[in-house]
Amino acid sequence: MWIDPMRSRRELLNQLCVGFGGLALTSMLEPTGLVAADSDPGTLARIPARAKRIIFLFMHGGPSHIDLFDPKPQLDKDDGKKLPFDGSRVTFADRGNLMRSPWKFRPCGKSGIPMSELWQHLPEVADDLCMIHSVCETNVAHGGACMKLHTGDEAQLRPSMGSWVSYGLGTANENLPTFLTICPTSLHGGVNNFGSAFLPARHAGVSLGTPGYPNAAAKDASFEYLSNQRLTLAQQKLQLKLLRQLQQQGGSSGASDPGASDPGASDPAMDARIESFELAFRMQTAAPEAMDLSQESAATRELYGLDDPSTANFGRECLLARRFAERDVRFIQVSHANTLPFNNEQWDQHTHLKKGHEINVKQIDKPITGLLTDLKQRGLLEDTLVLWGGEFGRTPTVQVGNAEAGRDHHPEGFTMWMAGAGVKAGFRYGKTDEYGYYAVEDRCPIHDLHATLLHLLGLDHTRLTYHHSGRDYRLTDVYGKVAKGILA
Amino acid sequence: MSKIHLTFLCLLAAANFATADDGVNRIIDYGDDIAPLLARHCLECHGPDPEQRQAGLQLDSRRSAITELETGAKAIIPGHAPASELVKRITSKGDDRMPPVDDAPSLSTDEISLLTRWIDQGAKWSSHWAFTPPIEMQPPEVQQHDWIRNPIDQFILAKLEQQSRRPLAEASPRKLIRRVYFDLIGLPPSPQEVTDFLADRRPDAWERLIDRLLMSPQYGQRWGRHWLDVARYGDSNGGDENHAYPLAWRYRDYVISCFNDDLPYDAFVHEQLAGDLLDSPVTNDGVDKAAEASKSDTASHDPRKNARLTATGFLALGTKILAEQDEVKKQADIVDEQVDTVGKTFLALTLGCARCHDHKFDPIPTTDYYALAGIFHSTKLGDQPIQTVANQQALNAHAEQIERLTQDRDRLQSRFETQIKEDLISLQELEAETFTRGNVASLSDGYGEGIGIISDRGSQQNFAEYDITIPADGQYLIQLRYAAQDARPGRLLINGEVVKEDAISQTTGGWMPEHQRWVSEGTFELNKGNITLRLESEPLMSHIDKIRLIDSSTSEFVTENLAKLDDLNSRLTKQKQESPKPDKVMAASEGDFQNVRIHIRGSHMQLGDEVLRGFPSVISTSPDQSDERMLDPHPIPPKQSGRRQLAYWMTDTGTGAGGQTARVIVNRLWHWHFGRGLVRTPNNFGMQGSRPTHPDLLDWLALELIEHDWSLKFLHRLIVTSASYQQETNREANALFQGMARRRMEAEAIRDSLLMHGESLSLDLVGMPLAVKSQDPSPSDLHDNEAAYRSFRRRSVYLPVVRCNTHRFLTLYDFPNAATPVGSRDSTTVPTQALLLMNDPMVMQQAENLARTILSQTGADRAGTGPVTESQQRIERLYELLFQRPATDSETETLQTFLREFETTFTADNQAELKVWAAMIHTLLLSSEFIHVD
Repeated sequence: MWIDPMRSRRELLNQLCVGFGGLALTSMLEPTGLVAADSDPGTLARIPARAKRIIFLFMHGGPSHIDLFDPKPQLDKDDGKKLPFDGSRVTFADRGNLMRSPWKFRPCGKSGIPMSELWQHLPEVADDLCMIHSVCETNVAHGGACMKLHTGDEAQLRPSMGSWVSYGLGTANENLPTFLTICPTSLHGGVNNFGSAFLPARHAGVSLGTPGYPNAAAKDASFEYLSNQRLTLAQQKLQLKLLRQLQQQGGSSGASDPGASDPGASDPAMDARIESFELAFRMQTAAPEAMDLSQESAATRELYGLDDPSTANFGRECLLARRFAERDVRFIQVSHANTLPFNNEQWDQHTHLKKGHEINVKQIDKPITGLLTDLKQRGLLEDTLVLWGGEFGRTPTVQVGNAEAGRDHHPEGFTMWMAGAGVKAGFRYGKTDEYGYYAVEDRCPIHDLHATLLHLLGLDHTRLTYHHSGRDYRLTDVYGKVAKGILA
Repeated sequence: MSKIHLTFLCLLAAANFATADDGVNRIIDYGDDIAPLLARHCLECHGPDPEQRQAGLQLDSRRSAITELETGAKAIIPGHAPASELVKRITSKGDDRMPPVDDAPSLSTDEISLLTRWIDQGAKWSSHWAFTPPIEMQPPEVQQHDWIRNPIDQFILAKLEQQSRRPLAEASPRKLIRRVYFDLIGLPPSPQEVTDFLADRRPDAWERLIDRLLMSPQYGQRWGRHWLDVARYGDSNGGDENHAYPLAWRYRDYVISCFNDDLPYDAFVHEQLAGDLLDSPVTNDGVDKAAEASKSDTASHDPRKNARLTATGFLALGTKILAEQDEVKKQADIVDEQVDTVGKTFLALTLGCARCHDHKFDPIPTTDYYALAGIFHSTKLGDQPIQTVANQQALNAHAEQIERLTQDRDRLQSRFETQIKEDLISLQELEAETFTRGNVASLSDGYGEGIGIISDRGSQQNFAEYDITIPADGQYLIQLRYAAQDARPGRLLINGEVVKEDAISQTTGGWMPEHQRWVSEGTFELNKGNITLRLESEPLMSHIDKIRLIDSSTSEFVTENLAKLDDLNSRLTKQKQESPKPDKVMAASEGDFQNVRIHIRGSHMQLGDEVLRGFPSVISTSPDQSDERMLDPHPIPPKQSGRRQLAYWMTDTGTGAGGQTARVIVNRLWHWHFGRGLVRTPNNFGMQGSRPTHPDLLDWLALELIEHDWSLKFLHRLIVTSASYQQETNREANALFQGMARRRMEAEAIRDSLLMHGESLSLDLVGMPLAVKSQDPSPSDLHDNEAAYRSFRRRSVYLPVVRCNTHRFLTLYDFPNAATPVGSRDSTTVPTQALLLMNDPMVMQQAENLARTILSQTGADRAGTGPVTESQQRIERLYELLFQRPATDSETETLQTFLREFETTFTADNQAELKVWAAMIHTLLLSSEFIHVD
């Protein structure tokens, strides 16, 4: 395929626009029908959008739905008894008898959404939440469950949901990545959970802070290679000028090619590369600006709990998320993924359910409430969807053999919630059985969750496909249906 | 409108410009024109998968397509397009339009025209090109004879001439040497090498250069890495849990050495699939080449045997879901990964698609998938010992050490004994288990292994008595040798009298023989004659080995020597225990032989019929034999996994997939040389893959490869010496191979040449990967990893591929993610790459290193150069180094201006000159020219 001389260089460069996470100059050297299709994947998949972006608050380890949002009076009654029906075929740890929640529940807000007494702040925004009590999956191990949640597949390495969003929607701010993940964990799929697998690499999530176990502290979160210890910006500007000059003078990779259809013209691929340097240079100032929390008022900082050591870390992550949302990053993941002295993963209370969940809720309660309040104040909740949840819930039964009681992993029925663009507010969707074991009403497998997220973003999950290895792949594989019941 | 335009472009590319001069009378070819179109629009519902099939219509089968359907219509009536239901439906404006209105766009006018004409011409089906063996081809006649260097050029030129195009002129020697260096060894030529080549006037200078590069060990490092892309090589698991694969590197080194040694590709395939089985005698199938070769090996130590076992690491090093709690699912997933990898790697078939249902596009039924899956379910993966030179050396060294210690001990022992005799020293040493009377247990294994001890028989009043003759009156030191992890104190009695209340009371660190230690219990007055020495303890007793009585006047001398002996003995014991562990490799071996049942919809919870182990039926030896029940030339015996048979079937050009396998590797080589394959989808030759742009050339090359003993170096020579390869640069790869495509270098070539110019590159050939953390790494561990990567001086192929945490430099430049075979890397341009090159301290350090070199060198060349300034000379040298060409006047001027301008950013910095030059060189390293090859 030859470059059409009728199209201007500028037009071509626009098409090849090399934003941080946006479209890149893919294989100019090997233009194919597939690449052409790739440059506008959304065409077929595009439907009216309710949300422009997603903030995903990821609770690593498995928060206990029956201790946080899904009260079970029957469980209180049958405390200590045997589960009266068959449990899961495959379990992670040995499971004992039913164990009631150590916390009381109360209805919150006008909508009366129940929350356990662990939540001190979240009730303030109860009427903005859309509870999904019937999320259900099959994999009982962190790794498989995390990968299922993030990529739609528990065994093969597939593109993450954020990378699908980047691929489907493209960038809205070329100076920043389209898909950002703040302080991700390196455990349980790790980078795969925000990777792009076979989607073009530019759709991979950019990690703010090195992925790690435990995850990086929010204050250490920064972009890689964004500053230079030896050269000043002024000096780098001189370098870029030289780069452009050499390009124009046409080294052997610069100008005229006997093979080109228009031998006098410069090579657009090479020009695009120069532009990528200039964009990189602009990003060196844009990204630090986006992360500069000193621009926030004391009131805002307090709203997110930055003044309190127990909430400062997660508060900082949430505040960064809001700043990136304002700057039109499409998919922002915030991870609550540290470790506790008595549990390996943040929310993984096989033991010490009481102590662990108290610490965990304390750390996120105020920051999340602050985030929702702040988004709402700024009108951002109109077109931002917030999603909260972990890779699974926890069993209504006690885990065998621990002095400090805890619960095992539980994928068969658990709670996630959404808030904001396009979903019903103050609403409860789906049900688990009377013990909180199986999802029994409006079941919402992860594929359905993904279908719904894409739907809200204006993408038809059945048409957002990528051709790889002989077939069209989707985030939802051959499954998934939109949970229409939650749509506002 | 734009959508239609795009589809049209796709079609153009797929149909190989067929429509560009598409006369109405052209014969429409099923394979070229119709099959891709059906695959794109129709086969999902009217294809090979019976479960998805609608209306009972299968369009890739002639029989089904021309048979009367339930509705009474016939989809295709050969010769009568207007009467064919298919044509009616694809042209319908109503709800009955196909593909269904709600699901897909309609066919384009051109597509409809193709189908219509094909049916009018008689609707002739043919087998998919990739499923049939290569056909012998004569290179075509061409007009521009003088351009031809070898038959490759005839095939390329014939296509060009069909399109009324001409090949591009031959590239300049400077361009060619840069091109071929990066292509064959992944490094730039030195200025001297360029000068030598330019000065070489011999007619075969080019061939000589190529031979030299192919002989260079750097060739294996470059081309081995290409293979590692396909083999989805990784040094860690990279799935749910990222455990290190500490032995994977041996497979990497194996691959590099195979390329360097030009191991025939068929043997390379055999070894990776069944290297562990190639020594076993042939029982029932074709000739076992490897076994024959090993018979002729006279030496018992067979390095090839190690290599073969190492090769099976190919099957083992995929990503796995390690924490899967459902063991059956876990095993099925591991096997799935192997089936998928084997299919793509060797056959360019997406067999993995048939795990859940019959393949939607290719004639691969689920039975084919589970026939192969059975082979891998019958295979075990695990670490296995190999005999390496290093290991043998360690064993030798270990034996020598034991020999030396034994000699030392024996020498000291005999000197000591002589002295005792000469000086009439009184020393008695008894084995504890030689007690005269006692109720204790004598143990010569377990706690007494090799030495014999006494201990209790359980809770009791333990005692042991020894009748001893004392040679003369005197003071005697009494010592006991024992092992005790916990103190089990007792008493020492002489002639019935307690002489020590708190004897045997020490702890020695353990109960085992290696914890034995001498302990002095005291000095006692003894008279000449017989005495009874008694040891007591209750309820338990330490593990007592020996008892000694030493004349105390000589005790210092005696104990000193005894201590030395003791020390030597314990060192010897320790040494014997610490024999070097054998080196190991990740490998495959035979497991529990089994056929598996079909997993309905891919679920291990729903099982269907059992499928016998076997090979994909889609590969047929000739197009018409697929239905015949031929005698299976590669039967799998019940007591074998079938890997060995699979390996031979894969390269068997008579009754197996040999021709197809040859085509796949030929295309891979072509792709890596030209940046684009003859088939543009190197891992997918199926209906959804691309069709070859030059099918005749592909077949011709495949048969040439087989003819020349599957030698890949033969193929390299053929390709690189063609006129096609030596053409002038074209900006982009194109389907006609008119000109050589300009290419962005791979990540490895960029990093390696940066290091080389910074004089930091080591060219070592083998070795362990960096020890970097891959499981549960903290952010600081990962920073350490990155620091280790940055200071690592060897070629990039040796950087550990920690899946998920691969060196950022590599991943930013499109290094594959090592999850599945990658046959064709992306080549993206994103600003994060620019940020890396602008800001990475490693890159800047190489610039500074080169600046130092340049600033220190130029003096020598200065004489007699007239008005040329020193900085001009330096720039000249830089351009030769980095770009293999002289700088133009305007470039030199621009650079000098930069130097002046940049200098003004410093005030009173005594390193300003170095910094200014470093900044300028850094900029040249950022340039497009530096990272592209023309």
